[in-house]
Amino acid sequence: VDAASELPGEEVALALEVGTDGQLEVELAHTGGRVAVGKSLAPSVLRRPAFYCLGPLSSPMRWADLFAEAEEYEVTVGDIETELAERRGDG
Amino acid sequence: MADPNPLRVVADADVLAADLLVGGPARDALDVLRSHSWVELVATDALLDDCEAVVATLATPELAAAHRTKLDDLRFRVDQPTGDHPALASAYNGNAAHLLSFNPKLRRAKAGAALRKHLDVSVKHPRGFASLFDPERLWPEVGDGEYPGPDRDPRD
Repeated sequence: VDAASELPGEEVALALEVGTDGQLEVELAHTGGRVAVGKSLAPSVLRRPAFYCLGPLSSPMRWADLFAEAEEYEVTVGDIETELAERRGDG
Repeated sequence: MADPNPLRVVADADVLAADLLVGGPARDALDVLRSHSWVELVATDALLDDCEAVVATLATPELAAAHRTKLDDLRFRVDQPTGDHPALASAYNGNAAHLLSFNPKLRRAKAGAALRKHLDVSVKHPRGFASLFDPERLWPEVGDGEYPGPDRDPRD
């Protein structure tokens, strides 16, 4: 479903879901609101939960996230110096 | 030789990697750049390659790649001549006034004298940079009026 092209401005489609009237709806990441995209689904589809992720929506990690992830590695400046010297061939 | 730009800083790959994996003085130094959009981190692709390789070895390739992406967003990119030391090439081509490194060889007086024949850069330990670099004093080079303080969240 090419829903994104029908969405206004910089809205980002978060997920597709079946609305109460059987129309496919797109949930918007920024607003949490829903937009019907005009696709009717067959009754067999309506009987099961439908929730489709459109793909990765992650923004670049924040520095805080990177630092938190790096905390588990016990690294010293000496380790870094050794690795860098080896890479540059001046060890 | 052009006057060096006091608002441009090179952090060698050891400092960039230590900012991520160790913290301490490296992070204090890089926080100055992260929190002031008008203080520029200058780096060639080769410098970021070195940092990414070190982080990938000591942590994971995924963390190294994510870190590279953030550095790419932060840096002012300059060209890397083949065979040049990545940090020195960054300082030379970016006309940076400061080069941060943990490497004592680069910070020795003899090395400084040799470097000054080619570029006017001050090689500092990140601790020295964090304690001496004063954005408020440099603000008149950038804008009018009183120094407004940091304009970015260094953890964002």
